[in-house]
Amino acid sequence: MAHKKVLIIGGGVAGLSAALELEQLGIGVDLVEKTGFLGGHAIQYACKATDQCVKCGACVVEEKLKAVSGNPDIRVFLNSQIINMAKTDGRSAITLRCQPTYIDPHKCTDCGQCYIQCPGEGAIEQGFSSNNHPLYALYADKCLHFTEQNCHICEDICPEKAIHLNMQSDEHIREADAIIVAIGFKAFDPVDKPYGWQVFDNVITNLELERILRRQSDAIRPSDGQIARRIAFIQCVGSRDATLNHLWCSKVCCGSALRMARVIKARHPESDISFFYMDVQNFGKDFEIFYAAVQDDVRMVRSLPGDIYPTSDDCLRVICFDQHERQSVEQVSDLVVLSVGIKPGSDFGELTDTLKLKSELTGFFSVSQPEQGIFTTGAATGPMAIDDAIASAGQAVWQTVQYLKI
Amino acid sequence: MIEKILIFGSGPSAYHIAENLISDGSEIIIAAHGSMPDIPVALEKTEILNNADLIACRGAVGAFAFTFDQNGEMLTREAAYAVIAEECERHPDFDAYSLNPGERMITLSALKTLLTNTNNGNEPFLGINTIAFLTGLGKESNPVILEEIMDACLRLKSDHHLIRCYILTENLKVGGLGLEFKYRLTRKAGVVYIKFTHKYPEIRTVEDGCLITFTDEITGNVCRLTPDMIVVDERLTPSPYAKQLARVMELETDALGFIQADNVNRYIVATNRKGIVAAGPARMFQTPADHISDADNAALTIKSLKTRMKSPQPDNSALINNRCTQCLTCFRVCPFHAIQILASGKLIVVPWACERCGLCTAECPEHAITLEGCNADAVANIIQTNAVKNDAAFVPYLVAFCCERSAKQAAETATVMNMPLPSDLRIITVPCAGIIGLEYILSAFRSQADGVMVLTCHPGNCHSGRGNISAHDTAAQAAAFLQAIGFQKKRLKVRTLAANMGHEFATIANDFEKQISDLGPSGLKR
Ligand SMILES: Cc1cc2nc3c(=O)[nH]c(=O)nc-3n(C[C@H](O)[C@H](O)[C@H](O)COP(=O)(O)OP(=O)(O)OC[C@H]3O[C@@H](n4cnc5c(N)ncnc54)[C@H](O)[C@@H]3O)c2cc1C
Ligand code: SF4
Ligand code: SF4
Ligand code: SF4
Ligand code: SF4
Ligand code: SF4
Repeated sequence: MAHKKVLIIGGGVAGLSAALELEQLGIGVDLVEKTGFLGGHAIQYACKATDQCVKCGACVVEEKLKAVSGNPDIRVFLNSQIINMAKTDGRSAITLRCQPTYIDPHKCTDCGQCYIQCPGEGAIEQGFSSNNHPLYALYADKCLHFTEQNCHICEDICPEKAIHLNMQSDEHIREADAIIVAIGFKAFDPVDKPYGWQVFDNVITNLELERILRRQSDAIRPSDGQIARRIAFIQCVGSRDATLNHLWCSKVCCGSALRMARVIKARHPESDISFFYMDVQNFGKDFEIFYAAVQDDVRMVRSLPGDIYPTSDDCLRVICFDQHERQSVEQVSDLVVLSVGIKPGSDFGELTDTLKLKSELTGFFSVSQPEQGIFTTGAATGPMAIDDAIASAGQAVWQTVQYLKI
Repeated sequence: MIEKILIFGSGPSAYHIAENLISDGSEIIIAAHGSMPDIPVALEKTEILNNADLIACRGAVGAFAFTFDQNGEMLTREAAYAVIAEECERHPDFDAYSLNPGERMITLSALKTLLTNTNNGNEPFLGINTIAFLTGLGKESNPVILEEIMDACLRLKSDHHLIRCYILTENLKVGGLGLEFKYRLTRKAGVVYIKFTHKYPEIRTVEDGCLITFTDEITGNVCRLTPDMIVVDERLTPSPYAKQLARVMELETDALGFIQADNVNRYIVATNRKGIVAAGPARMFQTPADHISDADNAALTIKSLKTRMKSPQPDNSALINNRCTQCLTCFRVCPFHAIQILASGKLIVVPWACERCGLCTAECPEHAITLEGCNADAVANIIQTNAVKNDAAFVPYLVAFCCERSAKQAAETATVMNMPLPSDLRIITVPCAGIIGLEYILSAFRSQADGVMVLTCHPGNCHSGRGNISAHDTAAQAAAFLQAIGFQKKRLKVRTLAANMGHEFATIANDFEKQISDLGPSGLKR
């Protein structure tokens, strides 16, 4: 087995799984991640276990990340993107542009001083897992050193002298025998929906609730830090929507919302949770058992609300047409959660050009193009859950192995 | 060294896996419970056992022996690995709708057969103007069935465009690739969907067909449908033979009886027996595309195992020493079947198959099994030497036994994120909570601990299947013992955590510190 090398674009659960599978076969891996953190969306999710595991799969992502970080055979490029690809004799030469990370991972001890003392909002972000190292990432577009040229607090206070604000961007040319594209998805941006996201503090997305539950265990209201008692989940926001030409079901948001609803209810039995939906999709091997149980905990309303209004006491009035009662009903909630759907990633177009890939009408990547040695996988190919993304990564690796004749 | 791979199954999944493995240069054997219909060219050189009924499975990864009853004769085949790829079974759901099958009351599969037969000049739809499909009413349907129904409707609409199609359902299962798009397509083609939420339609057979009466949920009007044909959906279940395979090989199954526990640690095709994988409809029903993905994953898993088994064998697995009295306790408890009985009667651990769960060490009555890095005496020693004497004020000395995969990860997140934690907390990491025997807990108290926590993964999330349950049982025994000797059993706490629960770890630990502070120093403290 001559030393083969594969370049993976995207460090979400699909990219991590593919990297581990290849490494196990003795194939060298370059893992290129656009952001400062590996793990993609799913590393941000909370555990939704009640008295038992509800098989959301989030902890599996932790395990994969742990296995990748510190693995000497997987070379990780953070803050990096591919800008060019040239092909010679079946091998590709890929040009990476690596934006500076500013934090030297060999020196940083993850003490968090920079994060605590940074005056710029969002300039230094904290990762979600102890397996993210460095646990902090510095973003130049928010950092006052770059935006106002007047700050270098973090550089001064870092006890390890790990921060270098003068670090420059870098270009690398990496050779690879095959490429796996795992750039994942983009969550639908609900600003244009009539639900007041980013207008009312207490209207949040499912992704935001996942992060809140992960960091704080409870459904904390952004406006006052109180635990929300009355919670409304609104499903299919930005999915199954002909006006947006989003003619797909995002597949994962029913499961995500109902699991979150159930764990909230288990931790605070006095919670009053409503679920506004069109159809409930299956998730997990024991869906029927879970679904039967969750209907006792959650008020299921088969209707999608038209509007949301604030009340004078910082709550939200959700208005919808109740089909059962056949009249307009309204409900007051402390927190409204929009189950935003899965959209093709934002770099989709660019990458399609750089790699000369075909795409579906919907904007997701069509399945792999083996003759080119390029394999697509994970949520980049369509909405899918964590287990599907892992299966999809396994399939892409198998196809890669066959292509490389290993 | 045997390198052969045995495949159980004779359907499309088994075939796809066989093809994958052959293309990878592996030698395979196919064991068909019935017979493999017509043998494709790719399998011409392959040994195919027809009518093979598995009755025994011995050995571990790298060296399995499978014994079959083939038409009354015993037959044994050795293989390094095995793939289970049995197809699942379909059961019509007439009962669920209180209907009786008939010429005009048929299953989805029967309709699909009719549709394929129309090509031969037959006219099975003569005199049929309206067809109603029943799916997922009062129980849940799934995307596989919905897609088949939609495809059938599209066929009916294109080949027999005068037929009106109604789909009656509760939740429309469009959660699959391309299904919402197909749903729109069928609607455009004239298929009518009627959804029910609380009240299901009343379906009766009348003289010249059927009568469906229901209240439309949008208008509130009472409506009637008189279809000429009713098509009833089907449930997909594991075949009785797949269940038999699980029994004989002692594999975990899920609530519906499919092979493979409903446990995220078994993603994607793993079973609890290393070297045996379950793929496609043997582990759950999925779309045909997912079955191909499973077949690819099965081939990859085996390739990966093969590669690993060429490297030096792991040296950190459990070891049985000569104190063993061959009581077979370990053989029975090992969730991974890593313990084998040699012809001499001696027991050994197969290092490749051992997952270091420690259940055997915790249960062996002779303490004849050791596991590197897991030693109750050494643990007690660590706890003892780290106990600080502080005469000024009482600071509870807390010991937390943490499973490496779950609670330990949570503890690390809490620590690295600077969450407040008890000031004197000693974390003892174990590869799996299953290793936490009674002596671990009791010796922690003997070694100056004021409080002990046993922190495992959640039920249903254990990598070893039941290491967590075993630890909970042990802790319950310890609590009963402590109570019996008049010791406050509140000093022992059991909680479950997942790797991503850093915040919860901190909360649990801090609450416990408070509780122990209130109790004061432990009476066992010297
Ligand atoms: C609110 C919500 C809740 C969910 N909950 C669950 C759940 O409970 N259970 C479950 O199974 N599934 C859940 N899902 C689905 C789950 O998030 C996905 O299955 C999973 O994240 C897919 O992994 P991925 O690696 O394909 O994509 P992603 O997680 O999106 O990862 C893609 C990675 O690629 C990187 N990237 C993007 N573009 C580039 C580029 N040009 N160059 C380099 N890198 C790039 C991204 O930064 C990211 O790190 C949920 C989804 C949502 C939206
Ligand atoms: S609920 Fe999810 S995160 Fe929690 S243990 Fe189960 S799979 Fe893991
Ligand atoms: S202050 Fe320095 S060592 Fe501490 S987290 Fe920031 S970069 Fe790392
Ligand atoms: S999974 Fe549920 S919420 Fe998400 S798009 Fe599909 S039906 Fe809507
Ligand atoms: S449990 Fe102990 S004594 Fe019994 S067979 Fe196993 S190693 Fe020997
Ligand atoms: S440690 Fe666990 S897997 Fe290993 S032999 Fe013992 S019981 Fe089996």
